[in-house]
Amino acid sequence: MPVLVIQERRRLYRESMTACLKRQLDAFDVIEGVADAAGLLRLAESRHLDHAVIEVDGVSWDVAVLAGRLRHHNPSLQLIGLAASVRSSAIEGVRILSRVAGPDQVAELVCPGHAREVPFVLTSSSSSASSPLSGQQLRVLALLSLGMTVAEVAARLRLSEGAVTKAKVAIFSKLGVQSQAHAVASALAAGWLGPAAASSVVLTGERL
Amino acid sequence: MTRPTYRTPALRAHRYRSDLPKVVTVHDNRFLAPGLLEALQGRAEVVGDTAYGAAALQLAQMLTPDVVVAGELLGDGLIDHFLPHLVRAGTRVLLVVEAIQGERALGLLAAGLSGVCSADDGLADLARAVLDAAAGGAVVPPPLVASIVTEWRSARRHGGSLATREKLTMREMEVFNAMADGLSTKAAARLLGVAVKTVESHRTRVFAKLGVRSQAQLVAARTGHLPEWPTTMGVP
Amino acid sequence: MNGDLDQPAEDEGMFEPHKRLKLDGDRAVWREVGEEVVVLDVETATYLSLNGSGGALWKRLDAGATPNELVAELVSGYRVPEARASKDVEDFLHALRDRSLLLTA
Repeated sequence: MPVLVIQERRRLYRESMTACLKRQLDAFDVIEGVADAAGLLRLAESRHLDHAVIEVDGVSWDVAVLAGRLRHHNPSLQLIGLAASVRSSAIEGVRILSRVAGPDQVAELVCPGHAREVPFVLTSSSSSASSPLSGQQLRVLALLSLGMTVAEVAARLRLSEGAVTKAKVAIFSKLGVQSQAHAVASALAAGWLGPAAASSVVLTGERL
Repeated sequence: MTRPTYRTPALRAHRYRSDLPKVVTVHDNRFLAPGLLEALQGRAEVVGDTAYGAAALQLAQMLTPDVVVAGELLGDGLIDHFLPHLVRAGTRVLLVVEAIQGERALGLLAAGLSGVCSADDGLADLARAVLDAAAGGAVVPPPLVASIVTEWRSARRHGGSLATREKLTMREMEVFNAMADGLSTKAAARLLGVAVKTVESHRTRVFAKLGVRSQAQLVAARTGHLPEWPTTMGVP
Repeated sequence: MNGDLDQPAEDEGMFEPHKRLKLDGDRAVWREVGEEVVVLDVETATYLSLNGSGGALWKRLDAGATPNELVAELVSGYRVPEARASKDVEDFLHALRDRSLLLTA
């Protein structure tokens, strides 16, 4: 059976991905995941790997170098990279998916034809649909509202500080404000951030 | 109007077991829900999943889950923004954290959070925590408590925290209100009829007394979206 | 609600294009969230989830609609060819009828 391995530093997410993909991909031998590049390379030396799902953002190792070394063991290895932000620059030989892709898209890439099992998966909220801010900009603003610095926001979201600053500028411009505080106030008042949006969703049908 | 992509009208049905606890997940990692579904097989049912807090509120009201498993950073805000509303909807909330900040965690617990789990824990640990929460337990593992307390103590030493919050003076209240509305120091100075430097020095004291680091944080807290905020000023 | 006056949709065959149909409101309670419709069938303890187009049809049926009106809804809302829309509406109505969620208004 072809072998699939998962590299993800956070144990909870690593085990979730493994459990989920094991269930969805009967035709694969899904190995218990590895935490980091070193673990992945050790595994590649002892076993033939066909697919690997890896992190590409915010890691302390060079992903392109890792990809190269993995290919040394198996030139036909299929690499799927999960990126925190969609604007991650392309990495040679790695198919990049955004993290919001989730199990469906990863499973689709590896082995088409599977079923989603959680009954209700809501992929949007009306507040986010009407907001002029992009998802990433909203997240940056949300963290700034916690008192985080640009450096802290960058670390938390696995972005460069430049990207966070750029997001800030875009936020100010879109909201027509000149300060972080004003941006937070506007977004909260308009319901693009926080639960004000929940009450603005039209309720139809009986309440359970 | 751009037309949406057409998909054949589909109706998916799921029987649920009324004797098992129901779980809804709200988290930006899209693998958590199906992984947890697998881990809870036969013991609880994951009935809903989303990356958005507003949608999670809708799911909580609609599906009346016993436990909501939440991440900190959601597509439309922070868990802090949605926690009080989820609690009011009658569900227990379990938070998955990546880096715990002592004072923030305490604030969330005070606002009704049922427990905290770490992203460095295993899936089986989270499953166990979910079942404990559904049964009415509060879930904060001892190592996490220790690190929360350590952080909290360190925050106290550096001034400005829940316990040592002092009363604001009248002038400081005025400056606080102006800033909470998002006014710049210049605009606040104009409004209050004082010098910009005066506003700045009041602001520094307000930040220190309230334990916030920026005006943006103050705005978010003031509008009630960060639960650790006291409802009457000056009450520690 | 005119529950007493509504009959369950007949069991056999195709749906008459101009006959008004509606949902059994006593049995299915539902809510729209974002672009999806979530439903609880209280009699069978079943959750139902409807995708975008399914939700659109559901909402029309809540107010009462004929199969022709439903086809028109898909054609105008999604720019689907009428033949495809007709088939999909037919299949969807069958699915609802099989679940005893349809009434003739």
